[in-house]
Amino acid sequence: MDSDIQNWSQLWSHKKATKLDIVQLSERLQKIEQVDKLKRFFIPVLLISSVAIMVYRLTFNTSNFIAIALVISGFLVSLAPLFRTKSKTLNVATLTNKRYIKLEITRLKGRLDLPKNHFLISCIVIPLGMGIGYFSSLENAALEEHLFGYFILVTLFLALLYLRKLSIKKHQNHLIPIISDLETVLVNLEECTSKYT
Amino acid sequence: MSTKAHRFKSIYEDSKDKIFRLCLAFSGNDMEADDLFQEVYIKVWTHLDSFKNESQINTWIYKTATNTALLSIKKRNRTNEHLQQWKHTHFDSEDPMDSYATMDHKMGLLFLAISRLKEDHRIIISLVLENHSYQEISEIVGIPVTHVGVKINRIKKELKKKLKG
Repeated sequence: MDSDIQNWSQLWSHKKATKLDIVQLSERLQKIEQVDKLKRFFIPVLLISSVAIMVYRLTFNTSNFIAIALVISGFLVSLAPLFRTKSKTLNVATLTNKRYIKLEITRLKGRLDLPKNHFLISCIVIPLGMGIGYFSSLENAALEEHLFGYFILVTLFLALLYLRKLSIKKHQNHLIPIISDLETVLVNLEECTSKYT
Repeated sequence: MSTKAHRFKSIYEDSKDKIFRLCLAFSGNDMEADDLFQEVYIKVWTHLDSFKNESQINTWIYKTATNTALLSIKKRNRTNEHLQQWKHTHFDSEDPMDSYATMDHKMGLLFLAISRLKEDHRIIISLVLENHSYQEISEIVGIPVTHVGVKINRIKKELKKKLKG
């Protein structure tokens, strides 16, 4: 072995780990894991049962059925990228650094696009669904109630658009520097691969 | 204690020193190294159920640690200012070797110099100093075995330059 490496290696090996209470850490992690298991069970059960109840009660009203379908689709569209990108980062323990960085960049870019594209669809679809549901229940209502309904829906639409704008800005400020740093690391790794081929 | 907790503890005992050294070399200061160290073992716990092949434990834990370290880039952005200040105090003295006369200080200087390398270089040199083979380094980092040696030579030159100040 090279003498520099040997000297550094000797110095290096003298450094020992600082104390980490591993028993306490594993107990804490076990508890978190149990809570997560419960969440994984109860959240879908709650979601499916509430949707089932709503659909069952409104089956005979086409407008309401469309309204619920639109609102649920709006929420699912905004959540879809989170599930899609999460699945790509599961293999932290098996992926090489290069592959992991590539997937992480893709995941972060997916998060960057989240408010841009998916939230825009949600901004339109959710108020539309709510509008259909609301106006179908106001067939014989007075003009004031209709106007109030329009006012609420337009306000909701504008509020969602504003939240989308804020979200885009926040995502860009937070994620763009990280993506750029990770891309630099990737370029360094690839430079090594391409330079000597 | 559950079977998983026993297994976790055993992996921790076997790997703690080398993983801590990697964390310290990557971050350059004890405070961030401690955070990263804990983060690595949280990831180890999370992925422990999916790990089957005991013979691959070394590569497995290093992939977990190095990938976690690379992702700590997110945190480094936030603490960069603090780190720059810390480096200024500890590293940018007129003659660093004079102030690092004892072994502990030389060791500190080595870790600090490594932390000033590019991210992938920090990982590779850490693996070299832990006596990993070129094959293992290639499997962890994701570069061809044939290029590992060339890369190490470049890192060595760079590190020597940094240590000379």
